[in-house]
Amino acid sequence: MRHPSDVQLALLAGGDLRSWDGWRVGRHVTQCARCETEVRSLRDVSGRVRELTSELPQDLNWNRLAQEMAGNIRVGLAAGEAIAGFDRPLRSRPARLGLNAAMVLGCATAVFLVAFSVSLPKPQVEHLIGALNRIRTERIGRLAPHSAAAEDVVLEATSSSIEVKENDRAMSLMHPRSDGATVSVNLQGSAGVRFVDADTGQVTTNKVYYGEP
Amino acid sequence: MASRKLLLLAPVWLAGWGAFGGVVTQFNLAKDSPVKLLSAEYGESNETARGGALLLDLHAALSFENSSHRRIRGITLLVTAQDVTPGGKGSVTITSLDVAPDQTFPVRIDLRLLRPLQASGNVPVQISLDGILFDDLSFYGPDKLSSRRTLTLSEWEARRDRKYFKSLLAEGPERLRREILASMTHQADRPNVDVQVVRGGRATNFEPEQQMQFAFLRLPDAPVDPVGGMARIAGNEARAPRLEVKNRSDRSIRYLEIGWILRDHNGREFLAGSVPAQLTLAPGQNSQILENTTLKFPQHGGQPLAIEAMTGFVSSVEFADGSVWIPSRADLNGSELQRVIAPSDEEQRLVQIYRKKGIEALVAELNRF
Amino acid sequence: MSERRVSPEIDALQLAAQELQSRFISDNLQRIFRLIYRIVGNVADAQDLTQEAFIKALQRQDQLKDLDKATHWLSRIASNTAIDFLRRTSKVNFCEIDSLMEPLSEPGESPEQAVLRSEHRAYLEEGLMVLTDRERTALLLRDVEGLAADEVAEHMNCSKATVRSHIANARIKFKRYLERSRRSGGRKKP
Repeated sequence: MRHPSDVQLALLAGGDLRSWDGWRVGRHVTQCARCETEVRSLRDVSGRVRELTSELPQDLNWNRLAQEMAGNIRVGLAAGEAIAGFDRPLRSRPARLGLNAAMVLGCATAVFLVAFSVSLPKPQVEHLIGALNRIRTERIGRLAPHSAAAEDVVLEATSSSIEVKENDRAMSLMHPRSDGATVSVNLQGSAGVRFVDADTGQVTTNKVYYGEP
Repeated sequence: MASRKLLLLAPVWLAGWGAFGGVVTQFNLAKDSPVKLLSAEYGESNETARGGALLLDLHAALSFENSSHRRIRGITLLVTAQDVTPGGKGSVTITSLDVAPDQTFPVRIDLRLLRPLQASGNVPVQISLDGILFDDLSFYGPDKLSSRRTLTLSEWEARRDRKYFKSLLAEGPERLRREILASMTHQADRPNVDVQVVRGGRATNFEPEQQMQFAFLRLPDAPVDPVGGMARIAGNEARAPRLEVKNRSDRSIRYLEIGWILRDHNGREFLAGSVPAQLTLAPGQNSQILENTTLKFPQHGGQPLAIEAMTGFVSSVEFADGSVWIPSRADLNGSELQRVIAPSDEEQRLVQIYRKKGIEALVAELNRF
Repeated sequence: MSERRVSPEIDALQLAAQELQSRFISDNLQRIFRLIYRIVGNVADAQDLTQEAFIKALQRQDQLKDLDKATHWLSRIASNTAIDFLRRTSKVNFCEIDSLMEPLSEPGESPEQAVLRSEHRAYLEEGLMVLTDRERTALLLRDVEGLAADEVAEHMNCSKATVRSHIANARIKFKRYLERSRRSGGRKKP
């Protein structure tokens, strides 16, 4: 009898397996004691995780933390209102970087003034400023460049495997972790790893190649 | 999954593992092949979901027999999975062999394939022979991966290094031991850097780009002189190297490789890759080598890598008559190259014999040749 | 000195709004904190991010059209805040899948030591930290917050297939962790 994979059973356990696969795998599970046990243990995982997350971290003084957080939230909201006039809609960008810096400074100043009036300790004020800056940056927009797409990379050689990729597919040759594994690249389109096989003592070189498009 | 051992007559389709689809391996060996596939044993395999795709692992231990009349020095197997990566291929090469006629030897293949989840059915993997090099330097095979050249160069390096280590043995085993220990130290000190190859010389980062000139390590008796070269460097990426070389020998050259060494901002030098050139270079002639490829070096030990300098050196030459040139042992010993480039396959094998079995086993091995 | 004159109606409205706001915070604070804590793994960051999430939510409350959905809406803001934090600080790519073959770490303490302090919870917590950030996030959103897979995918800005993989791998790894812990505990008992 062919059994479903671990992945399929894990998805079935949470009701995440799609219609035809779900029916097929579900049918198998009703007829296979081994897979049924497996699904039950996987469902148990969800229960355990829910149980764990219903509790707070150990040794945490929740009442004190809750008071602190509630206070900080009120301060943060008040500071946000105090400088609401600086905010711009998401689509437009500040004309100059200097203007953005001025807004952040304004925000920080407002938070300090408000915090002073409610006597918050300095670290908490700094946390709030950090939070408000992040909120402001999201509303104005980020300027960080987007990193290149993973599909640009066609060959990859690391100390544990070498791989050739094509769109969403890949082929890898793996090798055991060993001292003296040597990575090499040939710019005409191959990457390799050489190692000495611990069992046979043979010097083995695995390579992957890509063809020109 | 339990491993299964199968006796085979090639060519054979073998059903692989797999609950709802798996890998099916086909071995292609011509009727006149100098090796026979005796058996294939499949070990533990796995499948894991990855995005909208499935990861399939194949672990195979193959046993071949030398059915020719000559000793085998090296073998290259070509591995393809056309349904997964139509343009991509893999190979497994074993060098520094010494397989007598009728003797058997193992080859291990550990393959991982990534394919879309919705693609159903088995994944065919073809394993075929690309080449075999014999002790008389004759070659058999279709040579689609230029394995004749690779195996031949490796064999020349092996002969060079065996001769060298045997000359040390003439001064006594202690001299040999010291050299082997020095080799182990070099290997341990040599940085091994992960690398990605990006097609087309495209930038994949936003670091400012600069043109950087090559410095060259000139080897006295190299038949080729590097005249000049440059590449575009941006942070941890090296793009599109351009080199000019001159043939200073009296023979035509049909292939050469330039080793490309990079130095990072910590002063650490490592061999980035080799720049190959298939060309026709008459005596005294100059030629340009251009490669439109980007090499990218991900973080090493959590630290970003920034390239600061580059050095090139001639690592191998193939003449039009098929003979080859490689750096001599004298070129390598004590030079900057020895710190940066990996030892030959044969040196690696000899070091391993010393590590596992000691100096006497190493001496016995050297005396076999 | 002039006095600020405000009508009593406006005063009452403002008081009522503040009351609602306070109730909204106190009703949801612990739940949101626990969710964020399990995603990011430490109290200090969880505190900052919880505050940030509430500030964002209350600043945008005009966007909330249906009060019945306030809980889910707040959870969404909270998990997005935690996910963005992980992206920024630990450079996690949520759309990359981890190998299921990663060796699971052994429990950080012997079973005997674990008995002395809350054994059950300690080893469960370690099990959760064995998962990668993306696996843990997907598992929490799916199995604890009860979001559907496509909602989880929207949160994490990945494809539904990728998220299903995260969820499956998380469940499998956690199950294996529980099995290994039981086995090693069983061997060490006298």
